[in-house]
Amino acid sequence: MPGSDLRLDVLERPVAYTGEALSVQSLEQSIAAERKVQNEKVAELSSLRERNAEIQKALADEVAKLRKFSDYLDGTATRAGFWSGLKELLSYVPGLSSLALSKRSIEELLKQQYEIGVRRVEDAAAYVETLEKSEKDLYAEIDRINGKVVEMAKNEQLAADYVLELKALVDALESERQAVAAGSVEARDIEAKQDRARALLAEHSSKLQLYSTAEERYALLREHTRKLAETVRNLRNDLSQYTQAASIKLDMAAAQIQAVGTAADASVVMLEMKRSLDVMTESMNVTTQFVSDTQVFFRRNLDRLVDELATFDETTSKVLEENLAESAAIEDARIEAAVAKAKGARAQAGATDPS
Amino acid sequence: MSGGGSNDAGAAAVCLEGDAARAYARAASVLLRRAPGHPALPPLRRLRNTLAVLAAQDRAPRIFVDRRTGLPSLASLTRAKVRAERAGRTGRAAPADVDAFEARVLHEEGAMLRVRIQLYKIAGDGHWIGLVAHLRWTRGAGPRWIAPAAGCSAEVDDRLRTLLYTWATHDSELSFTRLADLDGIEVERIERGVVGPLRLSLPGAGVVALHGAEQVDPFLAAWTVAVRKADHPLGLLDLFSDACVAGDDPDHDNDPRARLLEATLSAAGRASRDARRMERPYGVVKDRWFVATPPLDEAVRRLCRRAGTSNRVVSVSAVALVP
Repeated sequence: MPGSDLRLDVLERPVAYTGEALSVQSLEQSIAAERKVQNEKVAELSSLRERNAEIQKALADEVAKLRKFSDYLDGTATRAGFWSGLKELLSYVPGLSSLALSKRSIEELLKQQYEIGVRRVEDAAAYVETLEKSEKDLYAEIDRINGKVVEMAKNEQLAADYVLELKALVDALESERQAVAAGSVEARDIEAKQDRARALLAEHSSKLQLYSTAEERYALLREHTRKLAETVRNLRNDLSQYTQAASIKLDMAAAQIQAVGTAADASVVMLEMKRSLDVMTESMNVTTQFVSDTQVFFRRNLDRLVDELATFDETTSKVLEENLAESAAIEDARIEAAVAKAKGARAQAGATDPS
Repeated sequence: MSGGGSNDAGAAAVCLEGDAARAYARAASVLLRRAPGHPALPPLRRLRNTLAVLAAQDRAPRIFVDRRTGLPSLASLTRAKVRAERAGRTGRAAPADVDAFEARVLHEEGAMLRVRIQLYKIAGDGHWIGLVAHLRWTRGAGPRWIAPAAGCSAEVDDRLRTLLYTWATHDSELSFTRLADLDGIEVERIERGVVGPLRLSLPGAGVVALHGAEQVDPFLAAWTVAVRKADHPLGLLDLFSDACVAGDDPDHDNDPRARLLEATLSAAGRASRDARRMERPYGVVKDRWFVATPPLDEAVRRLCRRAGTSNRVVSVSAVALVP
C-alpha cells in the first residue's frame, strides 16, 4: 500500500473553478461575443464619419452663401457696387415708401440663415450625446471584461496550484513504486493511482493553458476597448468645446439680427447686418474647421482601430487554434509547459508576497 | 428681468438657467394660458409649447429672455423649434415658428380674388407679433400679386410678402396705406395682435424683475412699486390688438398705454394722412388687455380707468405661478 504521507486526497478533491466550464470552443465563442460589442461601436464611429462628411459639405455651402451675402453688402460683388446695395436696403426701412419694393426681407433672410446655423450646432450637440453614450457603453464593457480577466486569473491560479500538487503526487508515487516489489499488489495499486493522477494532471494542465490564454486574450481585448473608449472621449471633448464656441457666436448673431429688425437708420442696418453675417460666418467657420479636423482624426484613429481589432481577431484565432492543436498532440510537453508555467507563477507570487 | 446666468451678446437678452429657467417657463405658460385669445395673435398654445420645450432639456435648461419684453428671444425660439423637430414634437405639441406665413383664398369671382393672409414673427423689438390681412386683388395689367395654389391656399408675390412682413411691426394703419398703394389691391382690413411685454418676478426661483426702465410709463411704475413691496410671485402680461378697417367707422382707441398714430404725427404728416384717408376711408381700432396677479390686477384696472379706457384684466392667483 502507498505510504501514509502521500497526499492522496488531492485525487478526490474537487477544484472550484468559477464561471462556466471552459473549452477552446467556448472561449472562442465568448471572445467573439465581446468583440461583437466592439464591432458595433466601430460601426457607430464609421457612420459618424460619414455624417461628418455630409455636415462638412453642408457647412461649406453655407459659408459660401454667407460670404456671398457679406460681399454683396460690401458692394464688392455687385456691378453697381455699394450704392445699389444701399438703395435696396433703404427700401426696407420704414418711412421710405417711395423706394422700390424689395423682393426679400433682410430680417427674414437673416433669421432663416440663423436657423440653419442653430441646426448645425444642434447636430453637433446631438453628436456629443451619441458619443457620450458610446463612451459610457465602452467603459461598462471594460468593467465586464475586467471581471472576466480577474475570473480567468483566479482560475489560472487554481489550476496552477492543483497541477503542482498533482505533479508532486505523481513524483512521490513514482518513488513509492520503485521502493516496492515490481508486479506486487502494492506496485499495481500505486500504478493505478499514478494513472489517475496523470489523467487529472493532463486535464488540469490543459485548463491551466486555457485559462492563461483566456486571461491574456481578455486583457488584450480590454486594451483595445480602452483605446476605442479614449478615442471616443477625445472626440467628444473636442466636439463639446467646439459646440460651446459656435453656440456663443450664434447667440451673438441672434442679438444682432434682432437689432436689424429695430434699426431705423439705414447705416445702422447696414452695419448690424454686416456684423450678424460676419459672426454667423465665424461660427460656421469654426464648425467647418472642426469638422475638417475631425475627418483627419477619424482617418487616423478609426482605421488604426479597425486594423488593430482585425489583427486581434487573427491573433486570437491563431492562439486558440495552436492551443487546440497542442492539446491534441504532445500531451506530455503541454503538461511540462503547464507545470513550468505554474512554478513560474508561484515563484513570482512568492517574490511579491511579503509573508 | 434678470436671473442666474450670463448676458446674451448685445445685452438685449438675459440667460436664465436651471431652476430659474424652469420657473420662468412655468409662470409664463400660466399667464399665456389664461390670456384671452384674438384672431390676429400668434398662436398662444404654440408659444406655451415653446416654453415647454425650452424647460424640458435633460440637463440644465437655458432660456434667453429678451430684456425689453420679458419674452424668450430669437435664440431661444429658434432652438426650441429645431429641438422639437428633432424630438418629433409635431401637431398640437409643436412649438411656435420663428416666422410663419400663410395665405388662403376666401373667394374667387372672375378676375377678383379675396384672400386672407396671416403671418406671425418675433419682431425686432422682442414682441411676438401676428398680422392678418383681408385683401381683394383684381387681375389687371399690374403685377401678379397673388396666385391660387393647391386646395384653398394661395401663393403671394415675394414683394407683397416682404411688405407685410416688414410692416407688421408697425401700426396696422401703415400697412393698410402701403398695401392700398399697390396696383390692383384693395384692402378690407388689417389686424395686428401683439404678445408682450411679459413681466415676471419669482423671488424664490431667482427670477427677479428688471427695475429702472428709462421710459415713463405708469404701468411700468405700478409694476416697479409692486415688485419692491412684494416677496411673492408677480406677473403681468400685456396683449394688444390694432385693426385698420376700410369704411367710415370712426377711430376707437381702447389702449391705455399708447396713442393712435394720428396723435404722433406732425401737422404736415397729419394733413398728408387725412388726404389719403379721404381717398380711401378707414377706421382704426386699438385695444389692450391684461393678465395679472394681485395686487397688479387692481393697479392696472385703476390705471385703465384713469386713462379713460375699458380694458379686460384677467386676474391670476400668485400661487398659480409656482409649482
